[in-house]
Amino acid sequence: MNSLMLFEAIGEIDEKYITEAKPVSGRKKIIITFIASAAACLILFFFIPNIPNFFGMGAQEGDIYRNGCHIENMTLKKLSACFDGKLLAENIIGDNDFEFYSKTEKFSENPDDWYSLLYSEYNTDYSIVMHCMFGEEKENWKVDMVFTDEATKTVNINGTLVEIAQFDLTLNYPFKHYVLFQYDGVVYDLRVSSNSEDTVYEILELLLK
Amino acid sequence: MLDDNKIIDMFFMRNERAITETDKKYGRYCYSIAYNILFSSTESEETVNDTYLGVWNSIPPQKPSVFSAFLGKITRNLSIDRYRKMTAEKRGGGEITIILSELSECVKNNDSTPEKNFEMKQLTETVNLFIASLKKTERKMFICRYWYGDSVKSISKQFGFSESKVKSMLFRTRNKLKAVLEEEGYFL
Repeated sequence: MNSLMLFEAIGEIDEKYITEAKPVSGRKKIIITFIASAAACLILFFFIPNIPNFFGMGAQEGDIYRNGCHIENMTLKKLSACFDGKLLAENIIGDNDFEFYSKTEKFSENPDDWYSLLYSEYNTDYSIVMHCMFGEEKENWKVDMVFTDEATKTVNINGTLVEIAQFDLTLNYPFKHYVLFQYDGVVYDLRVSSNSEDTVYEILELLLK
Repeated sequence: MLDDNKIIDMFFMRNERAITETDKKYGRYCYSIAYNILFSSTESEETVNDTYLGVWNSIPPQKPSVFSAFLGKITRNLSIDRYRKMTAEKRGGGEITIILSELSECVKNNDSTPEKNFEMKQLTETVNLFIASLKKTERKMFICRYWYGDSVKSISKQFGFSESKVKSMLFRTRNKLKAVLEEEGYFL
């Protein structure tokens, strides 16, 4: 058997699955979809500036914004709370390096589902990505990543034990230091512009307050 | 556009307008299935024309319950036959080569001929059961990629996921398929 045979065999699946995957749209469906998309765009246009309020974070005077989202007053615990049973609007804002999106579905414990949320600010010295990989074994952190000899270690930050898989990568500006760690069942990666390892721990302390 | 049942009735009455109506409603659909495999407009157009001939020769006596899927299957099978011919002549390319390379992770490549037909029938049953066992989103995504031949980019747009999430979901589903095929002895 070869891959073309398998491809052929896939062609003979039950017809209901073929149409389930991609119902053939008629013109009426296209028009309705277009109107719904236009309405959704209008709603988001008025809604996006209020996203921090929706998350319960609130805007503070002097905070730095990017695309309606700020991280100056954010902590890891608040990041977790964003997903805890809350329905969020799915949206992707920004370019490939700094993207922000959240999911419409309830935070899932299914190991096949994961959500990635990146909060970033171009002018600050760090950004943090939250990966929710329930059920994933720690060994899976190694996918596409290079570990130093120190590999995984556990550190105590403000009384909280945090497992860190730390490695050094020469990232593109502005981030020089990359730390992958797990806290409260959720995997995060922290990117820091400073070369100093102490700065990484200072930022972790701030995030884990 | 006409209802599918009315189009099928036209085939039964041997009314040639059935082909025109089929082309109006499903021409683009069949073309995109063919193009995803053949990556050539000329070959795809010819395949679509062959599809209509195939349908004309099949209905009657067949009376498909889901006309779009019936058409899609004919187009797909004709495209695969044409693809075989093109690869023998060292032509073709596009998404299908990537798709076949992904699917080759699930099989042990072996071109032994004698039991091919029997194996094909058994394989089809195994794949059907596997597809039925998947969760809805997984299944839809798998079919978009490996039945319709859609690119990862277009799947990510359709489902509203990032391309990396699409790739990792497809990777996990292929691993599950591989495990099923191994269990059924397709890796011997």
